[in-house]
Amino acid sequence: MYVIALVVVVLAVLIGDWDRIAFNFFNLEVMADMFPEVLTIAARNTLVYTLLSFAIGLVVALALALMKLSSIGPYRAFAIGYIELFRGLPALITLILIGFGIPIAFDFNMPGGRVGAGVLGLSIVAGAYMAETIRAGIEAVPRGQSEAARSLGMSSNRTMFTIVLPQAFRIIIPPLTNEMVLLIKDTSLFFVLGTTPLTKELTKFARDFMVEIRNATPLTVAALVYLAITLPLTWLVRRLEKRAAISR
Amino acid sequence: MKSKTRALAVLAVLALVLAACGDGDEGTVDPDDLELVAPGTLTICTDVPFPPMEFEDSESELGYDGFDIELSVAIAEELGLTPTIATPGFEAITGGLAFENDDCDVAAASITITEEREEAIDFSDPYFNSEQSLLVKADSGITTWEDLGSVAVQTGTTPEIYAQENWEGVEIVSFEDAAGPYLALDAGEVDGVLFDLVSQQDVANNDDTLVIVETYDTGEEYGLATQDTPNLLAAINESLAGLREDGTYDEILNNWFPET
Repeated sequence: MYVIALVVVVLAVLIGDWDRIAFNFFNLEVMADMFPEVLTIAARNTLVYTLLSFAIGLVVALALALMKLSSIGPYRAFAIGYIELFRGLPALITLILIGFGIPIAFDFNMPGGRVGAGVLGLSIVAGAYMAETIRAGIEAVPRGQSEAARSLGMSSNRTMFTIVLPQAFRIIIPPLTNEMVLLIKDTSLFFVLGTTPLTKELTKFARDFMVEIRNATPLTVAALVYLAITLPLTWLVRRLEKRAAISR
Repeated sequence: MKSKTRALAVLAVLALVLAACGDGDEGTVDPDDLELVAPGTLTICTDVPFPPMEFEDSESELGYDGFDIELSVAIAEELGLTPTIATPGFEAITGGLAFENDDCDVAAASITITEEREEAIDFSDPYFNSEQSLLVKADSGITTWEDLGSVAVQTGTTPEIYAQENWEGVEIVSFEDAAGPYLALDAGEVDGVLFDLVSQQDVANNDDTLVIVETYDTGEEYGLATQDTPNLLAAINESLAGLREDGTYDEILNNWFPET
């Protein structure tokens, strides 16, 4: 196996035209041109869109998860329908439907305009994915926990919010991080709703820059910035997990 | 060394293929010199949908139809080549990447000739005059660009550049595809759409609630594009002139723009 890998790498190094690769993808002049906007506008927007969508999506997901576990039939039906619908649609289509469909149908424009519509669209999608994660987390908390809480006289709501959910969230931190990393990249779909120079996120910013100067270096820079966002995030979560494992 | 032998091998095969079908060509240019992506075939790059210039049409032989398509097919026939269509994306075409990747011999995608683009690709003689126009909702009361709060354009197109340079104080919202601006107008996210008149006329004709209120003659012209294939470019210019002379060009124009 190692031999094959080595051969592939050596071949790639020999065959690749490194001068052209350097010029097209690692052009230092172009890189210098992109700063500071790639950070102050593009990366900032990516982060803001991600955090907003994640926060709203988490609330949506929690509500959906509780509805899906509810003993009331219509709640369950709604949650199942919602999750299946928005998990089954490409996020791009959902964004277009929310961003253009709602204003056209109801003559109502989202607060925050296109960005607001984009955040709402992604929150809806993220909510559908995370709802299943949260539900699984809740079900993974040993039954004895809620039985003990109930026998101490806690109401079922209090049991859920003070006993079950805190333990469930500890279990689902890794999959939720995963969801957040996916969300970071999904913000690149915001372009379908239209952009102004100040609302571009990383991918759109890099693509427009690439077109303007006809050089692919901006994509490389964007890729590095994405990694600069996601790698610390996953590292942080690994540490959180370790600590959680110790304190248990 | 390695790439040299490979190039030689390719050349040898090419020579064989060309020799095999060498008798059939009727064009005035020697097809050996055209540096085509695929021998005997003119690979035409376009970007759809942009009716009536180019759009998908499953009933058409090539799968695409429109003014650009018909014109470039006529050129291919003039050159004695078989036309085929490819769609690598508009930005890849105007940026030259599509040519570097050997995706196309020539691009016919309603590309406005600009100095900027000329750095990456080589344009033919202009074959079409293009104006820009401002489309708004008929009941909006907007009569000139100065009434606009915001305007939608397509990313990387001439209208975007025009609005950025001339319309101070108007918020410019950019969309990747040609449908986005019209959806945004319908959704009330923007006040107007600035676009090439050719396609906007098509929109206005099909929707009574939309009107074109202003046109802007920016002296823009469409050109066919090639890259680093001077012989092909010369051959294209020659056949363009020929098509204009023998009336084929006017025939195609009338086919798609009956009123002009």
